[in-house]
Amino acid sequence: MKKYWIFTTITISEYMAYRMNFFMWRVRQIIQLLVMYFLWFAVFANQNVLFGYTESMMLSYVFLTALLHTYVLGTTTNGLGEMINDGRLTNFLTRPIGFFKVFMARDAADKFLNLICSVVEIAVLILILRPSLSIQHDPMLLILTLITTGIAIVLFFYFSLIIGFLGFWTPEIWGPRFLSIIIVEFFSGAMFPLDVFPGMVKTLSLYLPFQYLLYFPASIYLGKLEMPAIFFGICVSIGWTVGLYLAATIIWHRGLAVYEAQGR
Amino acid sequence: MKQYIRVYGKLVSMNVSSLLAFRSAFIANLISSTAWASFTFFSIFLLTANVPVLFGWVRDQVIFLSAIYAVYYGLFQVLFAKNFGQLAVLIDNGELDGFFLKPIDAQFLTSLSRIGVTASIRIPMGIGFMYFFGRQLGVTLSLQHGIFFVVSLCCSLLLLYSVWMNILLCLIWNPRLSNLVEVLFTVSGMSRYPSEMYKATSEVLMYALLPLTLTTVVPVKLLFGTVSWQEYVLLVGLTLVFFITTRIFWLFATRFYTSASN
Repeated sequence: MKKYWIFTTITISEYMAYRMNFFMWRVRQIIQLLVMYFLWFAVFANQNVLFGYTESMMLSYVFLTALLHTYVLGTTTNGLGEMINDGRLTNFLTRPIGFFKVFMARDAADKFLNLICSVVEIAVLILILRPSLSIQHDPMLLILTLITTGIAIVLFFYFSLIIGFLGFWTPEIWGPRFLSIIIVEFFSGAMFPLDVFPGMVKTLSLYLPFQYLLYFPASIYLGKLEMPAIFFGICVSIGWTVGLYLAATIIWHRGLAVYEAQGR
Repeated sequence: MKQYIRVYGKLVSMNVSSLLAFRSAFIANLISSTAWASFTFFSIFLLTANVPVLFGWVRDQVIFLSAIYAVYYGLFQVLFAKNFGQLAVLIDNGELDGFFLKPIDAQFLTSLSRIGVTASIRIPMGIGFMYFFGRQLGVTLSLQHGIFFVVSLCCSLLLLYSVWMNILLCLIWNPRLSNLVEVLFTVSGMSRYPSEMYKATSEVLMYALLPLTLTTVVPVKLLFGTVSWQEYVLLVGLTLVFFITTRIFWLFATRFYTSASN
């Protein structure tokens, strides 16, 4: 475990070495949050309820998904495809370390930093904007929100790994990566709660794993789901996570069989 | 001028050839761009589905604004966006030297050497929505209106280019700020919404974003026939000021460029 802890601390040091660059990334997250906040604030200017959400519920959803977004969807596996293409993967293969565990350790560092920054930023924005928010007081729902968030983190980690493993077969990662980002952003509920979608799109979103990344934990927090639905969702999300883990493992071994270490 | 047009023609054909050499990448990027443009429009449709008026703009007007944004931002993506992404890398790696050594203006080359062909899918999509919702809104286009509209669109494009270049030239002093490009993408995206959205929150914010919000609002209002001559002159004036400033800043900033890696 100690060697993976070192990867975590090194990743934190990397981010802190280029503090301004990290700060710019945080500025981007704040701007995105503010745009969504202003939009929904304007939408609710003349209505009390929309899509089954009150203003406080929707603004709570916006802030909560912004918080979840940074550490559920934040990952260091984005550069995995390029790492495979230019041969840097060899550095990991020739060392006595588990590849998946290394990236988990690096992700842990990324999420830790992003979580701290997000909490501070959102706290400051709440103090400045003073939105009306829904605060959850049920400890059971809060615990379930944390559990489902943990599952979401692992689920997205394996999904992102699979996208990165495309680098074993194609030098062009950007297109598939960007497409996956669009699909995840849309169907995870980052842009809108999934229950505002029209019939067919909503049905499609229910069959995909992405709803368990942001929408599902946020819905639990907002108290929009009954207990049976919550436990069913947890079971399905665990199933998706296990399935993606198995898929990632199989693709990893198949990829290693064709890996040529170009450039090394 | 003829030399620059000839060189640009060569750059375009090189970019297209490069793109077609990697057909799978071309198709993947085209699908990504189409998906992004589609989701953007779908988001606006969804947002305005139950909201007849948003900041004083009716639903069809908001969608029309998004369509104009798709056209002009699509043009920006085709002509400039890839070059700005590359600029950050060139400065960081110290590879800008090659551009200075060519017998042609370096700013011209760094700004236009790469073409984002696949991003062009947004332009016909935007034009399609403009046509459809323009008819719904009763927008009619006379020759005079058309000329003014094209001029305003060109000014919007040039203004956005100038804002980006002025900000990204700061990378010469801080090459590691690669995320600045991401911030600019996000800030530029704010101009797809009515400027009144920012005015309602903060007058200071609205004026800070004024160059960007003008880029879409003025062409749209021109077509609606509601633009004031002050707004039009402001757009043209800001474009000239920013563009001239960009050139001056380019000449100033490049004096501090050090090719550390070469």
